[in-house]
Amino acid sequence: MPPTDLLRWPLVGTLLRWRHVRTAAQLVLLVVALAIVLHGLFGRQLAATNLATVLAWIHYRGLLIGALLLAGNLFCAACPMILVRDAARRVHAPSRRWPRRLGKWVALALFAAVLFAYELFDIWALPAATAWIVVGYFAAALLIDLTFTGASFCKHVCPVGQFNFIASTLSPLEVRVRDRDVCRSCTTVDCIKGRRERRTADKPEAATSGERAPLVVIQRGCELALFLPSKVGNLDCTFCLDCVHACPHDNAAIGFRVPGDELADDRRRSAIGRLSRRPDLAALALLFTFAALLNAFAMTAPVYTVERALAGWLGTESEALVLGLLFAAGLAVVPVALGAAAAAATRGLTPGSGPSVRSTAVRFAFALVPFGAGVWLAHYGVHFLTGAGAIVPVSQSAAIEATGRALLGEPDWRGMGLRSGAVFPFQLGAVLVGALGSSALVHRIAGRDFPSRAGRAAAPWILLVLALTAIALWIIGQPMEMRGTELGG
Amino acid sequence: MTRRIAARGRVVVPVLLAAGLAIASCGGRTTSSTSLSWTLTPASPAVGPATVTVTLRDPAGSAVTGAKVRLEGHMPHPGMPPVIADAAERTPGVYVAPFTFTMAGDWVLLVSAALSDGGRIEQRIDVANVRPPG
Repeated sequence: MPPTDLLRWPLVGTLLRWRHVRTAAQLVLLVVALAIVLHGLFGRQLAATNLATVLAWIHYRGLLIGALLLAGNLFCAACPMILVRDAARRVHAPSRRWPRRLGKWVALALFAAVLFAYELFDIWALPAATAWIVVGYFAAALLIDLTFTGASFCKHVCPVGQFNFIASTLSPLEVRVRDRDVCRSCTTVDCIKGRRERRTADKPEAATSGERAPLVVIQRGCELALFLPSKVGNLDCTFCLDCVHACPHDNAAIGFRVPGDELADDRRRSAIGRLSRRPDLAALALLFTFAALLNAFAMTAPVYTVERALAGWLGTESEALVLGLLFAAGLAVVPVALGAAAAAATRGLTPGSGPSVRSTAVRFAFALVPFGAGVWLAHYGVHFLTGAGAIVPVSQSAAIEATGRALLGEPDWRGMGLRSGAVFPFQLGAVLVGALGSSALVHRIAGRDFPSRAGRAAAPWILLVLALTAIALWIIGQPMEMRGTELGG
Repeated sequence: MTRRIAARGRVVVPVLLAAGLAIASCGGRTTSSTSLSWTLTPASPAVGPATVTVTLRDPAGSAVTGAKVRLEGHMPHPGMPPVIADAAERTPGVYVAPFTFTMAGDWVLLVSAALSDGGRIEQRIDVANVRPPG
């Protein structure tokens, strides 16, 4: 039995057990999404004063990474796209199955493409483009989930979902079984299958004609195919709590655990398998980590030096080409090369039987996730901490824009947030704690897979973590630049 | 319940959309026929001090006096604190604001004038590529 269960806590537990808690949270984010779309499309096209850019790029991202690291995958749970999708599925039910052989590769490509487009088109500065991205997300979720069954969009397509899944491995909370013995005696497995009832109310003539009334889903099970008794960790869990509501034995719990511990856990996981046999998930871990560095690097002045040097070397003025090469190097070539080199060094230092170089790289790649999360937190956290207060003057400005009158007062920009210099210790701490977490995981994985030579096996990966940490510290030490102003801007 | 929410959504979402569109289309920041012109000195600024001079004229070409003229200098990335400056009326209808560019790159200056007759006028000034200091 887990030592703690949030579902048993007063107030918090009552709220989480409330059947409509998810819908309520989704409605809140749906209103936010509507505000983003309306103001983004019809408001003044100035990022600093538009709700679309401020809510999406300051608040959403900052709160997202904060919630993931302090609690769990709350933003997937509250995703408004699923609310709209659920409504649409009442009109059109999907029938096809997503081809599982694709793994996470489609989502990985989309994740990289979104990051690339964000930099190339300066999306942070474009309210209308931000609004269209939100509209595009809703459209994609509808298209995918009205075609394919289950939570295909969340599991196989959504770039934000993949970010949340891999970051939620570091969350302190997870949904899990309360008592395994109860699961062993369970015959209905409602947590995965859901519950259906024959409802004569939906077909009254069935009661008299002897015809069977239609089966109606009264509580769905896990749409991501995570069977609770063999679920390990948070990967692919949207925290929707469907399993909690479905379990007839009240045997699902939300418990505390050691953040990141699951990244060194190679047990077979429901609907996932073993991490050591999932190169696509290892690639997600690498992408998550190196994208954090690249995304933060793009905020600094030296990125323009690199871009200009590349442009000069190639003899081109095409920002798409230069940025494309930078992204290909930063998100694919360099991570794969460094991972391969570290894995080869590990195998070179641990001769004899053991996993192949490729398998070694896959196993250790997951250890980099805490470091990546630290860099994301340092980056998104600084925007949030220095700019969260912008919501007040931006709302005041939007009111003037909409009505011509200062209904909420004149925009008061004084309480934006902390000074950027004041958040440096926070950034430093985030990167260092992340690096420490990664180092600890390297040792755990080395001890698990190379028990007789754990120190030697870990050494190349510790060096890699140290090198990446040095790069991250250099990046956060750079003065922030106004991006997108050079090389064609 | 889900069906009821969906049914409610069919009503609420179009209403919200219509309201938003109506607000967006009927609103506006400029509520006066007063004209606003401006000059920036130096014309190609670097990080550091600059001066923005704003001239307000009514449709007959007469100076508009007694206005409250304010400058908001915004950077492209949201969440960055803007540089705010209030302009002083140096000669009738001519308002001068000292302004400091704190970063290199592109800036957007929003000039807003609250007129003594209650009218309001606003103009956006795009300042491209403010040079680094030195």
